[in-house]
Amino acid sequence: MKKWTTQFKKWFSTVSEIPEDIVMDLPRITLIGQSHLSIENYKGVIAFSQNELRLAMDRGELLITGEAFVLENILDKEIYLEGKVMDVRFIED
Amino acid sequence: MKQKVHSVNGYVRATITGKQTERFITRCAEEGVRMWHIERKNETTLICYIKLTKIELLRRILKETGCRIHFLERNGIPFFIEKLKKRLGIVAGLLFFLIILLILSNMVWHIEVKGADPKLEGQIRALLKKDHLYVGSLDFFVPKTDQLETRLSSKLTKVTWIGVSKDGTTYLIDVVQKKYPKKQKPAGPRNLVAAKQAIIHHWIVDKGQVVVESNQYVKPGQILVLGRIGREDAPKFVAATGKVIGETWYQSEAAIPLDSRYSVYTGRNWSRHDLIMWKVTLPVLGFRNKPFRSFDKEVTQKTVRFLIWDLPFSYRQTVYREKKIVRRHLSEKKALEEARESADKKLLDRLPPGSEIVSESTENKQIEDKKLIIRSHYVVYENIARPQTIDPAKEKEKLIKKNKADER
Repeated sequence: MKKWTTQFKKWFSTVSEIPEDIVMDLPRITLIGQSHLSIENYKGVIAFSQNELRLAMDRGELLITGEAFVLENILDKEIYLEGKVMDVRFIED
Repeated sequence: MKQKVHSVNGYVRATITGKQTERFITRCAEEGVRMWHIERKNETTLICYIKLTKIELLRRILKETGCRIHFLERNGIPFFIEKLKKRLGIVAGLLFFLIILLILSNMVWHIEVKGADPKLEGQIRALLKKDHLYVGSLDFFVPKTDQLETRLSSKLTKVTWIGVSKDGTTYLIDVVQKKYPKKQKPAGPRNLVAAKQAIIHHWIVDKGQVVVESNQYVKPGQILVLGRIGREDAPKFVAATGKVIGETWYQSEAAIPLDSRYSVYTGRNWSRHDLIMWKVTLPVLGFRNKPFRSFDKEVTQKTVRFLIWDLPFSYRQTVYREKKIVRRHLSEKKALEEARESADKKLLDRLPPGSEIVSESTENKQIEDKKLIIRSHYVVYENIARPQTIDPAKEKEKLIKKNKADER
């Protein structure tokens, strides 16, 4: 069932030319320089420290490492990180 | 910036301690508890800002995730108000003080009346009191200075000119009083002569020698009362005083329109009060836009002062006075009556006080352009005496010459 809706959404986004991330709730990661990072459509915070932020995503995890991390803002679907970002990596299950 | 936005609702700085602090963050985001600027202090502790939310919700999330909270700072208006409540007395006092200061700043402190005698001053003050202007009255309810001027000058007959000005909380009323001629100083020797041609009717003479008779026709400049008395060879000169009433003749014209339109006030008023803040008008009382079909508007706007400053607030009072147009049609008979009256008035205005119309006859009346024009002839009794000084030395010389001529 879920697979069918995913398929439909994919088809809809190609037909209507609306970006996939909006239709399909895909994560959207914006990195400004090395200092600001915003992640949309995250599912939850798994770990947070000064050097590491681990987020749960739709499939798998997102691991961000760096220095002096501060979670500047947290909303239901969006998270803003400040600090020095060194690495952004997807970890699949 | 963020802090400023949140300060309206209040926010706290807190430490979150527990093994599942990340879970706490996730749950908060899901439940809509706003958090920002989250920092990791050590493995079990986070420091963050949290918007003031319902304590039950926060407690539930804490229990769920096994975390404990410790508040470091309390910021924002709700906490500030909480603090103020503890110092309610001071706040109330401060507010009270400001209100008193505001009221006192807009009060009339002094009314200075210049140039009026005590009796007139009292009269002026009583009239001003009717217009809400007295020491201790609020300035908002005082009419404009030019309105005050016209009201005062219409009611005071003894005043030539009246000026009202305002200087801060002081009203200054400058009065120029009519000066009545002082008691005449004993005048030098003089005759009374005729000012215009007339027929002598009667006279009341205090001093002097009357040289005319009743029903005598006199020309302008003719001597009526002689200032020389006594025997011819030893004359005395006095200031002739008295009245000589003569019969004089005048013509006066008047025109009265048969149809006329004029507006009268019905006596119904509507006042509207507004508070103006910067450029925004805030109606306070009586905000009907057009209460009457035809009206005259009278606007008084007063700026609210605070000590020596003008605040950007002002109070505006608008009084609408209903008026209606009245049409009047006069019958010829009535028009004639009115025309006569107006002609009489016109004439009496021209004559010295104390004159009296003895008879009048309408010589000519005609209607032209819907106007009745009449011309009347009047017989008037009036004082025709006019003083004329005499030089006693010259008069004596004249007498001597005359005597000599007689002797010859």
